[in-house]
Amino acid sequence: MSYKVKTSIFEGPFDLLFHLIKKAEIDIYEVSIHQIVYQYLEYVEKLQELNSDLAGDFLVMAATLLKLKSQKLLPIPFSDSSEEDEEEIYYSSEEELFEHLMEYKKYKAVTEDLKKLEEEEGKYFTRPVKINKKSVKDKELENILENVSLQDLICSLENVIKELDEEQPEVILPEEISINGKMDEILSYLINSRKIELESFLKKQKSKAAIIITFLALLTLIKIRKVTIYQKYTFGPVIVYYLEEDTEECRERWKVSG
Amino acid sequence: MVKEKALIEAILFAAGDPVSLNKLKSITGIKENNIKDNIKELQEDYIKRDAGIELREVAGGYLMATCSIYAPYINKLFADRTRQGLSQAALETLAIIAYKQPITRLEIEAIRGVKIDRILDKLKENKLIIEVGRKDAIGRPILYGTSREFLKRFGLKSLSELPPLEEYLKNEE
Repeated sequence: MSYKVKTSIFEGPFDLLFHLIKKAEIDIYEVSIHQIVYQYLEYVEKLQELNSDLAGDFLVMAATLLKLKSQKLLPIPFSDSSEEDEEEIYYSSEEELFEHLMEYKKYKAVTEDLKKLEEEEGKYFTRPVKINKKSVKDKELENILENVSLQDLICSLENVIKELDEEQPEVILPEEISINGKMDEILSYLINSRKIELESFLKKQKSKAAIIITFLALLTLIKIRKVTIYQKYTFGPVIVYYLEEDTEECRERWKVSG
Repeated sequence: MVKEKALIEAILFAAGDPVSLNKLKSITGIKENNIKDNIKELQEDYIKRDAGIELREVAGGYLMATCSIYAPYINKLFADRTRQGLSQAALETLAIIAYKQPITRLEIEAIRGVKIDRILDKLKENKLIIEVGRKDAIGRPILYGTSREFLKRFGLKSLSELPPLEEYLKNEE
């Protein structure tokens, strides 16, 4: 996760919480959640202007804290042992949160030392190693290429390019099919023959894309009432009729039916 | 005439990466104790003549490197390609992996409280962590551990040299 706000203080919800706890100088086991939430929201307000992602993360944390706080306000479910030492009772989620927080604190502390170690180590320069541990793979590569000449490589490159050239018409072809084009095709066909049997017309299409686009073109034509379809009986052939002269009549029908 | 000390020096110069005792043994055929003696002598030689390089023991091997006091000048030499330190988030993640390895992504996220996909990718890219296996749990999640490159980056001979964890907790409280 890349944070826009990149200080050593804000790197994540736990981080912020930890910072706030530290700032308030509260023992982690006696956290006043009210106080934390208050400070927390203050930070979220500031952060929103800087980085909404981060603010979102922090809001999740604020919500978690509010939930814990509200749980704390509710009466504790009846339990005899709970009266004896109230101080040590934690809700499972809260306990879990603090467990993680304590653990996180541990690593946060040691991170500072690792940072120093990294800095120290950065002062030692070694001879640059170009490829790390890949020498074996390089050897394998050499073996593979042992009997291959530059001419071979050029030849195979030319072959690949040639194949690409040959394939190109196939790539362009689907782009030539447009709904408008297919609509014209259907209409010009209909003007000549008055009707089309749908299935045989679709079968004439050369590719899946062409079939789909033809179908879409047909639907469009039906919608703009240039054509109509008719099926005499269930599962029977679907016939497409040219409609232009009947447009008026058709519109009347639509008006009547709704 | 091949001299043992010079041979070891030549190998370490050429390597640029830590070379383990075992590797030196198999390359040179010299006995382990003799290698150690020669390395000690080389180290003393460098110190005696105030050399600009030193022999260090890092990541389970020996490494020839420039002395740290000359770092500011070498930095000028490599002005255009200085290595950037890891971000705070990356370091924290790395620390958790280093101390708790083998560990899954979800386990790390539970501790840090944030998603770490990108950080893990970056650490993998830098070869600081490696996949060390799969956890025997639902989904068989990948287990991560630190690499030799990690030791090298932090100048550690081995993982046992990591700063102790518990002490920090005590100091904090």
